[in-house]
Amino acid sequence: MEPDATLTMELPPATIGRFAALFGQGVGIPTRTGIPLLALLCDQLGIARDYIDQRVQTFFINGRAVDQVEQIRVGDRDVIALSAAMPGLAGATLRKGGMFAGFRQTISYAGGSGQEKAPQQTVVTLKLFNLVARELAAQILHTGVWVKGPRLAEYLQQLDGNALTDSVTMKWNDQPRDPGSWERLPWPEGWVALRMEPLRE
Amino acid sequence: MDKILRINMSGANGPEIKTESLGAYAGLGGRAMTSTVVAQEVPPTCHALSAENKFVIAPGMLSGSAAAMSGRISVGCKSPLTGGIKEANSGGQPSQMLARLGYAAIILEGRPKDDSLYKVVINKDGVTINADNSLKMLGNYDTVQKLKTEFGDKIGCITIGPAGEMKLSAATVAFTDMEGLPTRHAGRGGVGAVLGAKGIKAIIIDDAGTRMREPKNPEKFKAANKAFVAGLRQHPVTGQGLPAYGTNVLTNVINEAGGYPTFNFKQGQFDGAAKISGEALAEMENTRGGDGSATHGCHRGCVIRCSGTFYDKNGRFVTKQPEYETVWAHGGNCGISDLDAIAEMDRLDDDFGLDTIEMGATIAVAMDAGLAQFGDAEAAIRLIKEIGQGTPLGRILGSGAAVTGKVFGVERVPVVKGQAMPAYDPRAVQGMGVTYATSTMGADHTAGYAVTANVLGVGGSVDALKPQGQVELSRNLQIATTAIDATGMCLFIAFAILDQPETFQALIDLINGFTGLSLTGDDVSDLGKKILSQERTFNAWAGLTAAHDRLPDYFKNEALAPHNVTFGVTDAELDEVFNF
Repeated sequence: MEPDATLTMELPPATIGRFAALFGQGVGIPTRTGIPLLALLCDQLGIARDYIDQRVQTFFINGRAVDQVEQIRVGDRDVIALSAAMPGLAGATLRKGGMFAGFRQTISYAGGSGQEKAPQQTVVTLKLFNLVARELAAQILHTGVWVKGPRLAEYLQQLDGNALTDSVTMKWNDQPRDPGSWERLPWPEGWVALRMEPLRE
Repeated sequence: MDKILRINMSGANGPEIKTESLGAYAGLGGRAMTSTVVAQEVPPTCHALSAENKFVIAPGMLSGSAAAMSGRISVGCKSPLTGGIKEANSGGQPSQMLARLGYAAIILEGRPKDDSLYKVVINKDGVTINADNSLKMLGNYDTVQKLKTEFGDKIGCITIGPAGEMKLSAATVAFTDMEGLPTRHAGRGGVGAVLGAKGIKAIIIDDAGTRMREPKNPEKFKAANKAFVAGLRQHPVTGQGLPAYGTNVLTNVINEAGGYPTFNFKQGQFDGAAKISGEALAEMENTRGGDGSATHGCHRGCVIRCSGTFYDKNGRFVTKQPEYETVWAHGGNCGISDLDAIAEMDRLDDDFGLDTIEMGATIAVAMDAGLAQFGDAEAAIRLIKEIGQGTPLGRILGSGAAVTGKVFGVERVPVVKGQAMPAYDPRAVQGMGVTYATSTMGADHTAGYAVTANVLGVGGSVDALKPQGQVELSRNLQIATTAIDATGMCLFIAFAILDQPETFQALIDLINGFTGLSLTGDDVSDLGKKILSQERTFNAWAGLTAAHDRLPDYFKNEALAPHNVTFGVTDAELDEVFNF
C-alpha cells in the first residue's frame, strides 16, 4: 500500500506544534492487521509504554471505550483514539478500567476484527485529543502520517499566519518546492504521506 | 457565619428585614442549608411562584475562609420547572462575601403587594431594601453596571435578568465574577423566576471592612489546605487538562464515544464537533489573546482555573469561556458548529438570565417543531432574542423544553421532571441515565458526580461491571455529591479525590480544621443521605412519584447511532436507587 504523494517539511518545533489539531479528526497510519495494538503504538509510532499506561487514560477503538489495551489486535481500518483523563462523571466513566466502567458497558470495547482475520495491510485512523495531541503530535508527525489530499489542503488553508512560510524546506514527492507554493501543489484525492522534520535551533 | 437574614416581602408596610440566630440550622451550609430550609418551611404543594414558596441563598460551609475551591454558593426553593425541590449552585464572588459578612443564609419569603422591583443592600453595617423600578427589564450586564455606578466597583451582585422578571421557568440567578461581571449563574430549575416572584431584582453585597473567616484549628487547617491544593495541582485533570482546555475538553471525547447528543438527541455523534471542541476553543482564545483569555478562575480561591474569557475576532469581550454544556446545548444539539455564534448565545443567555442547557435543549425542540432549521445559528440567536423581548413566542421558549414541546406538539423532548437533559446521551452512558431519571433535581449531570463510593465507604464496595452496579453507583454518587454541595466546594475537586486518597483525607482535614469537628468519611456520607432523604420526602409530598423517576420512552425505544444502543435499565432497578 503506497500513498499517492509525499510531503516533507522542515519546520521550527513550535510551528509543528500547531499541527496538533490535525489529529482531532484523525490521521491515517499504514500498518498491518492482527498485530498487537501496543506494537503499533509503541514500536511503530514510538510512544513510550509508560505514557500509554499513565497519561492515556481514555482509549477508544471504533468509538468504543477500551479497558484492557494489552489484549487488542489491530483490525482493518480501525479508528483508534487516545485522550488524557477527562473531567466529569462522564469523563471518569470513559476512563480505561475505571470504577465507573459499568456506567457505559453498552459502548465498551468487546473485541474486533483484528483477532480473527488473516493479516493484511491496512490504514488505521489515529485520533489524538487534548494534552495527548499536544504532547505526541510532533513525534508522530516526525514518524509520518497519511492524510487525504483535500483534507490536508483544507487544513493548511485554515492555518492562519505564517505556519507554512516558516518551513525552511518543503519536498513534494521528494522534489524540493518553494514553501510558499503549497497551494499550487497537485493535491490528489487519495493519501498524502506527511512528514515533518523539526528545525534545529 | 452565625446569622440568617430573613426578608418578608409581604410585610404590611413593605418588606420586613429580620436577622436571626442559626437555631436548628447551625452547622449547615450550601445545599444542606437550602434544602433543609425549603423542606422545613415551604409547603410542598404550594405554587412555586406563590408567596408560600421561599428563596434561600446559602454560602458553602467553608466559604469566606482561606480554603481553596470553597467559593460556591447554593440557592434553593421549590422549582417552577420541576415542581420539586431545587438546589442550584454557582461560582462568583458573592459566596465569599456573604460568608465574611457572617450570613449563613438569606431567606426571602412572601410576595410584594405591588409590582415594584426591589434591591437589597448588605454590608457590615446591616441590610436595607428599597424599590428601584429604574432596573425593570434591564439585562444582567446593564443592571450590574448601573449598580456599580451607584455602589462602586468592589461590590458583588446577585441579580436576575428579564427572564426572571417575567417569571419564566428557564430563568437563572446571576452572580458576579472576579471582574464584577454577571457571568456565573445558578442555572437550573427556574430559580430566577422564584427570585422574580419575590420582586427582588438585585442583592448588592459589600464586604468592605470584613475579614476572612478564621479556622478553629489554624495549624491543621493550613496544613490541610496546602496538601489539598498540592493534590489538585498534581492531578492531570485538575492540574493540567481543565486549566488548558476548560470543561469543553469533553466535546471530542464524548463525541468519539458516541454519547454526544446531536440534533435534539437523534444521534450520538456530531460531524462538526472538532470545530467547537475545547482544543479548537483554546486555539482560538490563544490566537485572539486578551486578559484571562485562556485560563481563569470562576471565584476567588480557585486553583483549578478551568474557565476563560471569550473575545470576538476584533478583541471585544463577549462572554466568559463557554462551558462544555453550553457549547453542546447551543452547538451540537442544534447542529451549530460556529464558536462565535455559540459565544453570542451564551452572552444573550447570561444577559437575559437564562439557563444555557435548558435553552439549547429548547431551541433544538423548536427546530424539531420547524421554527428553525438545525444548523441555522442566526435563527437560534433570533429565537433567544424573542425571549429577551418578552414576545409570546419568547415566553413559551423561556419556559423551557417541556413547555415548548407541548405547545408545538413535539414528542421528542429530552426532559426528566420537566428539566432538560445535559450533554450526555443516557443511551450511551447508561449510568448517567440512572442519575438523570432518579435525581431529586430533574435531569442533572452534576447530581451524581462526585467521589467514588469506595473512597467514601458508602454502601460497601460495588462491582461496577455488573448491571446492578449502575444503580448502586448512581445512588452512592448522588449521596456523595450532595455532601460535597453542602461544603461549597467546586465539584471538580472530585477528580483529585477520586484518584488520590491523600487528597480526600486533606479535604476531610480541611473541614475538621476549620470547624473543629472530627468528621469521618461516614459522617460526610450520612450528611448526603440525610439531605437526599429530606429532598425525596419534599418531592413526594409535592406529588412526584416513581413515575417521575423515568426517562422519556423514546430513550428505551429508539436506538442511538453509531452504537445503536437503547436505555436498558429497568423501572424496577430505577426504583431501587434510593433504597438506603
